[in-house]
Amino acid sequence: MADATNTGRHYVAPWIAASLADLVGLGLLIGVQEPWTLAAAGGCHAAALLPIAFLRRLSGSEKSLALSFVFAMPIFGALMAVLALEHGDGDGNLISDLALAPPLASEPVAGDFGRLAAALPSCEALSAGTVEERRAIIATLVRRADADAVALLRWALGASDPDLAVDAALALEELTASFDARLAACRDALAAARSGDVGAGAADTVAAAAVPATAPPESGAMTAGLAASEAALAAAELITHAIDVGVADPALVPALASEAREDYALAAADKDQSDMVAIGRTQLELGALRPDTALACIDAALPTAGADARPILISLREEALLASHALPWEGPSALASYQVRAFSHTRRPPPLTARRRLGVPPVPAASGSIRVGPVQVPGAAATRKVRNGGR
Amino acid sequence: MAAVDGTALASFGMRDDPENAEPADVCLLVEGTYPFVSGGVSSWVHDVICGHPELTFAVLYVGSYPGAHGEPRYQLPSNVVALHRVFCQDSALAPLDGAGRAALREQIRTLRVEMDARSASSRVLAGLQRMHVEGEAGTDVLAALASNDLTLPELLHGRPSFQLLTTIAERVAPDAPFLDLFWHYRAIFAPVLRLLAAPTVRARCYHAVATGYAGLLAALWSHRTGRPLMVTEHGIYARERDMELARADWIRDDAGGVSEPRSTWAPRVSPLRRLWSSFFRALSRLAYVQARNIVTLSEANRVKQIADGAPPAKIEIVPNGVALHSEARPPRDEPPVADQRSVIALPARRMRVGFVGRVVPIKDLVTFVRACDVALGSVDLDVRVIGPMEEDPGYAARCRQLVARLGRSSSIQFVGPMPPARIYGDLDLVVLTSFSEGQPLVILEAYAWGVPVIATDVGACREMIEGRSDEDRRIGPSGIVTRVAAPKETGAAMVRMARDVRLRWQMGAAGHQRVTAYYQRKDMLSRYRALYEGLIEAS
Repeated sequence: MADATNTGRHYVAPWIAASLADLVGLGLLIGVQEPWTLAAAGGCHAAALLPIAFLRRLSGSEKSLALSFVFAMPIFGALMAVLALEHGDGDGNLISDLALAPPLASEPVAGDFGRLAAALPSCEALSAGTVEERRAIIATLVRRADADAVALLRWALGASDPDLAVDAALALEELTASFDARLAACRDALAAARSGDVGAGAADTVAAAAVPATAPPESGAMTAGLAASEAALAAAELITHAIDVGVADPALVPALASEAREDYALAAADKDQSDMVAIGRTQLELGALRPDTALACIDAALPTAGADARPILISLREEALLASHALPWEGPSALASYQVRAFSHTRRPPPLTARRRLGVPPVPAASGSIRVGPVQVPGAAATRKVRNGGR
Repeated sequence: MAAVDGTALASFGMRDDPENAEPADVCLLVEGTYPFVSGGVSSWVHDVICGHPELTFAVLYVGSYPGAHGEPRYQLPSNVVALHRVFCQDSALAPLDGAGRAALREQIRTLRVEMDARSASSRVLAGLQRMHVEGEAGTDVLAALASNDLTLPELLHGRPSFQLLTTIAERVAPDAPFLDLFWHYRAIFAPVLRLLAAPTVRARCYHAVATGYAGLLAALWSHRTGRPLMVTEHGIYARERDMELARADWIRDDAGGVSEPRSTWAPRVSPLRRLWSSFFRALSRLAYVQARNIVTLSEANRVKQIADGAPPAKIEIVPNGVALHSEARPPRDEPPVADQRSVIALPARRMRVGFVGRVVPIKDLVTFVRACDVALGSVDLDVRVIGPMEEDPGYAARCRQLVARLGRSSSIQFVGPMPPARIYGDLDLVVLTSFSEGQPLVILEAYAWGVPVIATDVGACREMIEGRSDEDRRIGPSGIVTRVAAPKETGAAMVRMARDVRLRWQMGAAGHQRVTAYYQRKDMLSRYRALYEGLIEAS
């Protein structure tokens, strides 16, 4: 069979005939410009297909390929077809018959589809899954209640499916109601503690309200017998978390942030909590989109920070630097002109707010640039150069 | 059915034996609403009873447990001949002491001996198995349940019942922890057993104002007595229960580590939630199967009912209706200003905006307050929250606190419930921000007074505002539809209404025209009169 095919392929006459027919058509088009020449040229092109069509020694797929070439490319199609057929699998056979081709991969099984479905992104599953799946996801999101979960629920609010929007709205309402209830309990406990009425009831209330549901049981016991500073820290951290994850009502964020700042200030009276206060306050300012204030807080806290808090504060500082660039009203940020040496704290730069108030120029950077995570932030000199138009 | 003694009647909340009483023309079965809870459905029931003085009604209230409801909120009309109550649960039982436990063990032993000696198996258990394992909910299942040949102790302690539990565990909820399933099985079927044993209230026809437990009871009684049944659904019961189940924290999703999620984000349906959901859907289907007529309020609900198994041929849409009182202010013939521009200068008077309804989470008053806060940043408004606040005092307090924290106490007032005549005549706009609605009467009442509406896209709100049919749509929009939980969108709509007096007038006039054409109380009552006559004739 292979031999016969090869023999057949060595017949050049049909291919030459096909090309000749096309050449005749082309000659008519160029040489005899009469109304009938276009039809005649078309007939010649159709005739060019005939030698290939009747070439018995080509398999069905080879014939289809060759006819396609000849039809698509007049004159040169025959040559291209020969070249293509000669570049088969080495045995002279064209591997195009699907039935003859070796299987590429085993057929997908139900388990593969199951795994694909299990790996669907939540937003896809929310919009494309069944009602039961959707509600299961929403229940999971409510239990997680972190920033990603809240963002996904808010995305679902705008979905075209009204049922999905209602489910998401109910879930968000549940989260908000839970936050409001816990905040009210924290406020009551703080008020009781400030008035000197640090009873077990107040302590238990704030412990129950402030401790996340996922916290270990001993966390609640540790908060028993809270002083005012501890109650204030618990309230402030609760507000910070709500702002950070997006549960807090946007219209109330400024007021809540202000309340949390006061609570942090009260909590800072206890020197044992200073690291917690610094970290919490920084997170609050980042959540409230005040990275400059966050940087000021970190810079104030780093010199005295404990060994455990230092890496966290440094990490938050990087985040604050990055956030300062993300703000739409900031250009190539003056905040980025903070020197890297700030991390060593041999010479701490004054807070940005203080520098703005006092009119102190930016502290020159010790090195050319600061690395903030994966981003290389231009140093002070480069920043000033950009701002001053390269002068 | 066995005779019921006075103690048993009292345990169901019934004073007289309804089986020996004079049958009423209509037995209305309601679940958790009339006459003990005020609200849209209760008002509707009251309206229907008052609107048919020629008929006598027996009202059966299905409640959760004795003492769960307060005093009646409605004065029962004179044509209500009886008010019965049936509860899904008995009063809470105290923990047993040592002697009590020993007595219970003895009782269980005796019960099992008696059950083992019985030759025929329980038809009720077979019906429950067909409902939950085979997914059937037809006439056969209803007939099996109506046989009432299973007592509550037999369900709780009998071997055949335990066998059904294991079958469900193996075939329906293999992922569920068995211990959890055991308690859920009891929680699902114990109320059903209580309802099966409730004395039948005799009537010439039955009318269930929901599916669910009330629908099940109505279907059972209709089946037993051969009297026809009509089901009216304001909301879609099974779907409302699904929404509650999705947020129910009493169903543990990760109990025993058996059904831990494959990944944190992977969708995973708790088999116990699924069990409850299929139970409520089966209840709906049983009512649909037995019903001669199924009445719904809107086309959207009709589609949902069909999807849940209601035969399309039985469904009829009868919208709610309101009375066009003589004191209702018809819209003026001319726009309020001679200026023909679409947008005119700001009115001198503050626009009066009303939220009319119960202050409960499902109405999402929080979004309303936030929307008002957004709108008050641009226009001056006089906002009133009109409705009872005692149903969920915590939520009401939260809303008041939100108003105070936003600094809007001078603009947003909580005025409590008021009669309609005093509400709408003093409003320029009604806003509804509910998460869920059927066909809100508030919108119709506002239309009757020529007041336009801003409402969320839930239930029948869109078709009430934009029109249900082509002819209806030609009237023009009578308000603005917004998304749920979208305070900015709602606030923007309020600003638009406040700034465009002409638009407000046009929408108010369209609302009045719409309610006059399609949502009159007399039309609704005449449709129900015809339905009742058909049922009574068929009986």
